[in-house]
Amino acid sequence: MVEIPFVFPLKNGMHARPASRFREVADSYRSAITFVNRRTGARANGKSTLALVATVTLAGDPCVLEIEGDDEGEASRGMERFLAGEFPACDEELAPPEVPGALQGLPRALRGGGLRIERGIASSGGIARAPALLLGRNSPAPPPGGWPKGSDEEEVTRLRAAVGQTEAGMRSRMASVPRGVEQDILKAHLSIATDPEFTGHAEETIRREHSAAGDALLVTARRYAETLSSSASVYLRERVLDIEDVVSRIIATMYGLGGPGAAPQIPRDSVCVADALAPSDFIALDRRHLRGLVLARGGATSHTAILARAFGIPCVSGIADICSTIRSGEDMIVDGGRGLVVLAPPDAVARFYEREARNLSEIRRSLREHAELPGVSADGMRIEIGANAASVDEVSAAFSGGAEGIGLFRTEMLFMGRDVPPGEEEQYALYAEAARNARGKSVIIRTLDIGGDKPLPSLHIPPEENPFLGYRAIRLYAAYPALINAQLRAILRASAHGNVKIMFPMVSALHEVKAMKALIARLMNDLDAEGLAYNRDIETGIMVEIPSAAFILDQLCAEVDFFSIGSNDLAQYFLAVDRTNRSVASLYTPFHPSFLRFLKQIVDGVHAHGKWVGLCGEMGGNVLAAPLFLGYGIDEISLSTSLIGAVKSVVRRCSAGDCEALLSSAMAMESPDAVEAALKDFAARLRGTALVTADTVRLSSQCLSKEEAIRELVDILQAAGRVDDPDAVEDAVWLREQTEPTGMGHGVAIPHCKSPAVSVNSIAVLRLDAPVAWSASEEDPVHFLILIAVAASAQGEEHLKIIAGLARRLVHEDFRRALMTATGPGAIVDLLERREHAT
Amino acid sequence: MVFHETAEGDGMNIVAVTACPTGIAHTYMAAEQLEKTAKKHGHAIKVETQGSMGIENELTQEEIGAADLAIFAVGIPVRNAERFANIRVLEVSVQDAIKNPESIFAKLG
Repeated sequence: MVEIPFVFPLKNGMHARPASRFREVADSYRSAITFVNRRTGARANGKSTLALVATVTLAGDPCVLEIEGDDEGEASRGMERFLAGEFPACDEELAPPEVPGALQGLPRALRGGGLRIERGIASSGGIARAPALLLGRNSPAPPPGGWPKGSDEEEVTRLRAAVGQTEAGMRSRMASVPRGVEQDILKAHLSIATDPEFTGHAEETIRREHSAAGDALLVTARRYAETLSSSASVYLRERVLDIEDVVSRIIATMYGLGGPGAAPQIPRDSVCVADALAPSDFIALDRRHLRGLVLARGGATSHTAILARAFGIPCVSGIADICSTIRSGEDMIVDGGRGLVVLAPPDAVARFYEREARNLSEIRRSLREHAELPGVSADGMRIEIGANAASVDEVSAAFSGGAEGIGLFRTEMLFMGRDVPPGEEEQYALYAEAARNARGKSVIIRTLDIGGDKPLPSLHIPPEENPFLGYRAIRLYAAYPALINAQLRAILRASAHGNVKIMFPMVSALHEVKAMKALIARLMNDLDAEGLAYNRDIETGIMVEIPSAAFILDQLCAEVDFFSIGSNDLAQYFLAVDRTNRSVASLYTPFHPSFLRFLKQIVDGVHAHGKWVGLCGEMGGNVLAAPLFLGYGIDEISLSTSLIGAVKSVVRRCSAGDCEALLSSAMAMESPDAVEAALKDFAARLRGTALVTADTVRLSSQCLSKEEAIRELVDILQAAGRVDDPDAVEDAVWLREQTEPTGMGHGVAIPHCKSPAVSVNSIAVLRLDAPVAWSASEEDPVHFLILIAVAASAQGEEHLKIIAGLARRLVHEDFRRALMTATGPGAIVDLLERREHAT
Repeated sequence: MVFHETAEGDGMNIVAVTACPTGIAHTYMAAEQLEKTAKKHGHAIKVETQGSMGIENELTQEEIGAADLAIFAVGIPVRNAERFANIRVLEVSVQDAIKNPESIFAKLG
């Protein structure tokens, strides 16, 4: 027997998705694989998803795998690789589950008496207002008089048939939905339905208790539910719903009940309210009229909540008695971001949420707008800003997120988690879909980069002493001709459907490139002979991630069309630092002056031979580094889609000339710290020091009260990205108002605050269409407001001087009159910015 | 504002302190309003602000000693208040200084 001790790495514990992946890998070996949690003493068959989940293993638990069988050597190496490589990464990033009870403050508009507010767990952001629609429970309870029952063997047969039918239904459903969250969740459910321990336990119950198949399933479900419910992990407790969901489906199939799948009709816009909504029920809902979701059970990490987020449906869960406090048809507002529900909202509350919904959509619009603008510096230097992707879904998401191309399409993910590598046809279908989704924009497909840190079980490459310097990527293509031929043929054929390019990883020598070029030429001949279409002029390129490649650029430029700098590996090999080794990790930095000079040499070297060069490592997504890329005159950078808006906004404010000067001085610096400080300083100057812009001035507003006016001022700052937490800033403004109202007569008020929730010192201006009362004693209603918001950290800054100067000028009637009669936001900004003391 | 110059005619020599809770706006508005109104009435005035940038235009013991009167336009306690032990102090709210400066100066008689 072989033992592999390890510390459990997944922060959400052992739940269905990683467990089902664990089982898949364990299943590929003949040996018995037992998972032991040393903290709890729980033991589980490694080939049973449910048994693994039922160990309720938490992050950090000491664990051990016991492997015993005729292939235990191979199995232990395989499991070790899996635990070290893929497993820690196979849990999807989840929003941190909110602990019920830890409630955030209510915004001021919701603090009035007499409001019917229910508070739960913020599970999917957004605001919705619609009448409630109560959904009944789909609980798999036996009918009165119990389920029909035959002999034990008949019941076992009934059970097996129903499980088989449910499995088939799930598989056909999986085939019909696009890859993504929905498919992952179906996959996790499938692995529960087909779990040998689960069905084994149910069959055993039938034989031992002589119970009906339905009862046996309920007993089995309860057993697992009890184990999970006692877990310390909120996330694992929420998995109970998944098991109930699967059992409901099997029982419904078995007895031909309506059960889940018989989706309730949603005839008009509604907020659906339910005790619990199983993921499959959510999927079955007609979402056209589904505006929001309120659940008595579940939480932020339940699969239903994950689905709600994926489909942009606001959702609040964990309001225990919601089904008894609400009637169908009752008007309600769901505030998914704050995790609350307002029943029968009065006008003021409805107005608050209308304003907030407008503001949120404004914010989303402006973020999108930023990401959609082209990557070009303020003085017109072009740099293509593309995205890295690893699946067809990510390609589509990248383009809707503003990518100007796919600078790196990783293909490793297609090969992971399966015993047999995908064939040519399967790859062709995927690459062609990615190419079509790109609508003419470039998609750079990188051939398989496996080995080393990314092992692939199906290749059976023995473990290496030093995988980063070992047998990986282009180095193993010669030994696996079927693999690389299939992939290259698939890419070539996909090139008939869009702007596809080929890129080879880990090139260290010219002969490697020549071999691949020859192979491509041969495959093109084959395709010609077979009459299959492809782009004869397809561009080929290589990753620059091994320093040796950077010194033969003249030779490489004769062979390829483009280069992409893999900054992570290149820096690691160049600096001789293993990033994962804590003792030396601090030496790893792309801001090493030596590395900056090296990059310059590469970019200049490629350009000298008339070819183009991009960069696709993590450095590309570092907003501090963005000005350096303009300084290099690099042609393209490729980064995570979520960072495109931020990087573009930096690039668009930079001048290429300044960036070149910045780069020269950075390359001359003596330490990475000095470089980083210079980059931060550059970024700060770029951000500018404007206190007020046209975006923070609004000259028409229908606010009906002081409360609404202050909130609108704060909303203006939020939409301009100047405050982090609008509710907190609103509170800070009101705290100041309570000591003494800030009306200054003549229809003007100057509310102000100093708060850590303010990220940029700001002034917002609001002119009301109709004046509002400012305080009880105030004879003079207010219609012109100037909000001054100062960051708590601002001490003796230039901004405070400007604000003090502005405050002094406001005392003067001529200045006030000029402000109040200004014709547009621009004129107001000019007046406020003028620093001279107007007396 | 140069305090040491003698006030014109029957004008007075006034010292003042302004301070409000957050110290970012009203402190300075009140200071400006007091200076503006004093000038209009022919008084000489020096206003110390105790705000977000700390104490500015600080009053010395000599300046206070030479003054006829001190005005505190404050919403929080004045810092270093012991300097004003031997002078008549008129305390008003910051709000009053901003909105009704004329009525403050009318009281000075």
